[in-house]
Amino acid sequence: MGGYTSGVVNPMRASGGLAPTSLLEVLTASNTYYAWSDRDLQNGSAILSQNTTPIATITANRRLIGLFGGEAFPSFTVVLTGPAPISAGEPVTIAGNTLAAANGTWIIAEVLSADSYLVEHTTTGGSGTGGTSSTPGGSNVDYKGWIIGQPKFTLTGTTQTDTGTIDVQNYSGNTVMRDVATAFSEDEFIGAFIYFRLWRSDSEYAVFTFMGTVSECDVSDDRMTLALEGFGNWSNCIAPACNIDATCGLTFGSVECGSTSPTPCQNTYGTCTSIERFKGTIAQWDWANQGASLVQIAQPPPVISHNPARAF
Amino acid sequence: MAETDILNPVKGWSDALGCNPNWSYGWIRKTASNKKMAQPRLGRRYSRELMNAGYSANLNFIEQPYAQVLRLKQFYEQFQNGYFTLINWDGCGRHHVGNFTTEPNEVETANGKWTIQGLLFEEAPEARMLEYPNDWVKSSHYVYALDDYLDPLVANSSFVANAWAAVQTPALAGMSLNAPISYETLNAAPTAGDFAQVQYVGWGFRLTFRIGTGLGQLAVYLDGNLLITIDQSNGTRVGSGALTPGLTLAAGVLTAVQVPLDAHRVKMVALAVAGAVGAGTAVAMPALQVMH
Repeated sequence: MGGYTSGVVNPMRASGGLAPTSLLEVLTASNTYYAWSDRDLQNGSAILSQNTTPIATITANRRLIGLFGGEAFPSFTVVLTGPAPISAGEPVTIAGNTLAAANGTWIIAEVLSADSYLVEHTTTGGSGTGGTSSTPGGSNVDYKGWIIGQPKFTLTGTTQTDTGTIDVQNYSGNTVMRDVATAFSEDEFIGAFIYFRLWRSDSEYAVFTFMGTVSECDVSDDRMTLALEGFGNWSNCIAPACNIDATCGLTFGSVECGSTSPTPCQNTYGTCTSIERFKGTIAQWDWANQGASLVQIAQPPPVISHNPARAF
Repeated sequence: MAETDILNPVKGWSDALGCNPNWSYGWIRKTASNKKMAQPRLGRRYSRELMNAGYSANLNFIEQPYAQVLRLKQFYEQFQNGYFTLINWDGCGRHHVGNFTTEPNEVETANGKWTIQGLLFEEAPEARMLEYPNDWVKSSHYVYALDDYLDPLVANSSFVANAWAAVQTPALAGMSLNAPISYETLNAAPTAGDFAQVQYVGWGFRLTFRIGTGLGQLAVYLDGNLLITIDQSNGTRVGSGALTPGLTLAAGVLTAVQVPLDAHRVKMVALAVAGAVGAGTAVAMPALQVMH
């Protein structure tokens, strides 16, 4: 229990162990919100009156996987002021909090403060206030007791993606329509943002959390199985096979470079004579025309210099 | 063939048949296999009727004359792809239609005495019957607007969102719903074409409509076929002509008996037309009484 506060550990030890409850929240791309558990947790019940704030809304595009999956940026950004999930936060970090403001076509969907779903992802939060967040279901939601069996998770601890599977029963509903099958037909679960917590009610603490997206969704007569992927899906990264650096990796005058200038460059943007093929990163540019500019600005030296000979 | 062939037309010995066509022991009523159930580890149970199987019986014929053996074999062979009628004389004479799904294997246990054990009779869905089950007191159950956990059992559709609501003792004139659970599915201001429906597995059904001046006309469909149009302001039928066979409407109670075993869907469509008494057009779907 290293890392947990005494406020968590002590009641946990005192209880002698209590069966934890699975709490699953699903937010689909069409902004439909589901909250499921393996027990019925109605709004106002003891477990929910405690520190179980549901996930916050990300209104524009919940497919966070798209942020680092090599997709073109949609009208989307999430500004995380708290401890960000590694992959999801990275593209935001490059531009900082001003990225969205710098580009008028990008929209700040919502600013997530350091509460809500991030709080329990850290070792410092969690035991205290869950904080408030805007949720489709309000600050407290009814968890429908639909999760059957035991959710299974595989945490690799490496760059291999963490995965999980959760089964939801497909029997409930009125006599004509099933709840889950109806949701499956009306909504797209693949890509949905999910947040899973294993909730210890004795210590009022989620001892295990899993954030990610739904990668696969199978519906059968008796159940819907959601296959989950954690955010760190490195196999989805589409990156150039070269160093990403402020300097250009191309050889001057090569076919890839294409420059016919008699003066060799210094592999920098400021000295480039073939800027349409410049293969370095640009940290500063003139954005006056709300688009790509041909004005070459001498790039500032990087704040953190790194050794390109060393991969990481 | 079919339902007019009765395995055991009489209750006891039959001189005409040379045997007592009834079984000696055994009648297992088994319809639970229609339902599938799931339960979260700490949650409530959810169940759903997924199949339309009927009753089944594991019958034993003890110390019977060979005429009985021949009769059972004949019925087994004749109705491999069909069904016949079997009367449960001990069960108030209820009819069942189905066939033997295992072969009768006779064993001679004494001189001229034959025993057949474990002969499985299974009821056939979608089969006509000479006499449809009609004991509403002993053999029916209710499908309410909500289940005991107050989750809806009635599916609905409306042009105006949320026009249907499960309400308790709505403030409309008239008698209260004749049901232990007083929720009903009400559409207070319907648009023509709004409907509510219930699906069940079983035979016939019965609807005890609430009658009130605030209520209007609705049409009742069974599996997509119009059965009757009812004026809920006075509980009478709208229109004339011959009713569907087996259908009766008396004092606001609609009874449909001649319905074979199957998964059926009872749909009530609001017509948004006022009844003969009062100007209201609201419609209230009562609890569905299902023959099982």
